[in-house]
Amino acid sequence: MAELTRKDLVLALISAGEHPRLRRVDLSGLDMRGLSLDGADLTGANLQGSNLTNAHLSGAILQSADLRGCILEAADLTGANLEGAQLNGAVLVQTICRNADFSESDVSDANWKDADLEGAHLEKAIGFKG
Amino acid sequence: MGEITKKELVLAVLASRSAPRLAGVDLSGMNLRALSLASADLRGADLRSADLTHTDLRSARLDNAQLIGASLRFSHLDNASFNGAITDGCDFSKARINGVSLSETQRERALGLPVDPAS
Repeated sequence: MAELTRKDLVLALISAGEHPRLRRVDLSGLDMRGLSLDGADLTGANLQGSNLTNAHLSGAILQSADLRGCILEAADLTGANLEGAQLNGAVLVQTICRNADFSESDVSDANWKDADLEGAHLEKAIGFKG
Repeated sequence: MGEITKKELVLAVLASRSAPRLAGVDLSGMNLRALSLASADLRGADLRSADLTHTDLRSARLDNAQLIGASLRFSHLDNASFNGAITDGCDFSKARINGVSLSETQRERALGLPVDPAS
């Protein structure tokens, strides 16, 4: 269970500055739809089963984050760093993944339908079926 | 109704040292009169029936925001962006809109906008 509520996160983000520090925070199962997380440091964060539909994550650092079963539908991951992240079963339908780095990430059973993968680094991703 | 209170919003914006991140936040029906939200990230925010009269929204990002029935009367909107925003019944009377680009549909559905001399 997440250690923050959506309201806690919304209030923290308003004044978070350019790089919200959310390293290793447990945000599992949280409703994060539409939120602005551009440039956020989410290294090692637990986002398992969270809903990030329409969220803004351009330039975010998601290295080694747990995104299993996470819904990222129509989210913007432009230039995000997802090295070593776990994305098993994640929903990336219509997700913007331009220039995002998925090196060494596990993307087994992820749904990439209509995702924008231009410039995305998926060559070293585990389980990618392009 | 909004997912945070006006007091919570005011305190958070006060503590903010850069553009307030309010993307995707439900601010519907809230009284946001005269607040300083310049450069705020309000992409996809729910601002239905919100009162933004006299609010400073210069260079704010309101792309895909829901502004149905909102009041932007006398607001300062110079260089704000409204791409994909829903403006049905949104009142722009006396707002300052230099550098603001609204689609034909947005203009038709909004209230109080000056007639575009180009049209």
